[in-house]
Amino acid sequence: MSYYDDFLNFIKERYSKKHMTNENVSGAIASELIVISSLLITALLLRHISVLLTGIVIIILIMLIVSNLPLSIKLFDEQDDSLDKMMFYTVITLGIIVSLIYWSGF
Amino acid sequence: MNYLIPLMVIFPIFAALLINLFGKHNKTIKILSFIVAIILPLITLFASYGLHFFGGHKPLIDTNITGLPTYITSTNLYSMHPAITYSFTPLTKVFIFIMCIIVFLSVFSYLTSEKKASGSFLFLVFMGTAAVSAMILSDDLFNMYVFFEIAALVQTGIVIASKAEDNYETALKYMILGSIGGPMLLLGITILLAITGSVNITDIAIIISTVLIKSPISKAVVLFSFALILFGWLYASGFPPFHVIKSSLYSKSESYGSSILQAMSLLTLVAFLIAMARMFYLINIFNGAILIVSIIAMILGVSMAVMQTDFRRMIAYLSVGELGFVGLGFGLGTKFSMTAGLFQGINEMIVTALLFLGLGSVVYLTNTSNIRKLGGLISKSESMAIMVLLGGFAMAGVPPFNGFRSKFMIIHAALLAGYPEVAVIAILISIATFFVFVKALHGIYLKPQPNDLEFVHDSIPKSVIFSVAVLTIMCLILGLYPEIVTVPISQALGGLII
Repeated sequence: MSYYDDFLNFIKERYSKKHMTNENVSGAIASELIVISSLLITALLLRHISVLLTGIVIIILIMLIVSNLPLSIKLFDEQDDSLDKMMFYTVITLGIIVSLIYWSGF
Repeated sequence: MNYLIPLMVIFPIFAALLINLFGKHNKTIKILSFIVAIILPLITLFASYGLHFFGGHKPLIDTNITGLPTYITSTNLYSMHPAITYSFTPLTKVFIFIMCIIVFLSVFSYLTSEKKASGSFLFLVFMGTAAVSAMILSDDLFNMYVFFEIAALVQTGIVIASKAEDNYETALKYMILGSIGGPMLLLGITILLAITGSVNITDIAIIISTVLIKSPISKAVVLFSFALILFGWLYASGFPPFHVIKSSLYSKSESYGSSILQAMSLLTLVAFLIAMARMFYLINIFNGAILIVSIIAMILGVSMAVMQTDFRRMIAYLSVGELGFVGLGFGLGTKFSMTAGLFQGINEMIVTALLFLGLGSVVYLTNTSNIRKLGGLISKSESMAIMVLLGGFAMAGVPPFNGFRSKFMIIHAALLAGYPEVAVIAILISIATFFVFVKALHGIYLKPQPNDLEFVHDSIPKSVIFSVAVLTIMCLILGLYPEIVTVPISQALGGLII
């Protein structure tokens, strides 16, 4: 079965009780392609630090992407208007920013 | 001393208070608001460039005082700024002027569309204008923070003043998240005050670059402060993880309010980004941190916009994603890229206001923003449909509009700086933005009109069509003659950072 059929079935399972149109499917698959391609290209930026690191990160990224498809639906679910999720990601981001900037600034 | 500089902040505050005072007199506040909205861009236009020292307290080096002891004249004390300083440059002029034009067009559309004007809403609009003008003018970090908090409260107020469903809940969530973002920003500023003894950005930048960056211990404190200010900046500008609440905020406001809200967010973003660049440009990870945050904002903003079926939310997410281009310019770290980023900021402000006002007319006609329930609206107003289409082209970066110029500059700057990956991401995001508009325009204007679609108004107010037309013309003019804004921005940047 092709990836597109997998993708369509996933969306149907997820949204079977809701009204689903071509707009949902085209939007979701466009989002999927944007996320995957942008993530991989962004990882290439690591070549300015280390080429070896870039290779390792890209391989890990590809494995993570393949094992978590479709990403766009999961991203969409995570970014809803729930205050709990927003608070969670806010605190996580604060931790990441402070740690990364503090330790990598030297 | 140029007294028109503080007037850019004092006048809208005074006007806001006056309008609130006459809140119950509909005709009075309508006339007052209209006059104030006309005067605001004129003040910016006629003010001369320069510095304004509050209370007249200049740095000692600029005074005629003689006979000072050497422990003052031979140290940083001699050149430190003792008072709040406002700096009016070509860059601030361009941003405040465009902001005032958007405020004028939004207020004009609001006053002519609504039978009864809300004094509270107009109070918030002018107070917000004053707050963001102060932020971009101020050379004082604590003064910026105070106005940043006022702007955050005003944004919440504008959402509460709207008639959208769940607006109170969204406003409350924004305030709760602000209770994390705001204090972190303040903590970063107080750490800087503790180690430099000043809240003036010029003073801090000099002390960091000449003293603090050279010692590992003080550099650690500077890094910690940068991290906290960066986090506060993410909240102020609506970058991830605050993109969800920011887009929710835009979509829960009336179209007039949304167009002003996004302009306020953009000015806040630019004000703090320039301040951070001036203070922390010597930190080796400054550019990298801004670059990564901006790329994440672009990817998340656009990928979320693509999946929306509510067009207000779609535009809201797109505006967050497009803000990433501004950060991208600063992340690349060259004068050309920063000019491109700031030019993109101006374009973003105009185009998003156009789209919020233009697509707001759809809500005015049908009382819905759900694309599934809409269709065939081109028959109601062809001119508005065409202008919204052109606005979409401008945002996606289609020639000859302003968005094309600024995005082309950013892509060019990325290639010149040795980051072809960034150029590819920028192109990808622009293509996705174009896709979003094709989807939205087809859904709203071109597909067959649903049988159950009901209209609450028969036609779009002429004032809204006028406002959107003015913004479309501005997009075209800046696309054909970008040097109107790129030259003053480039000149001002040369004196500020590089």
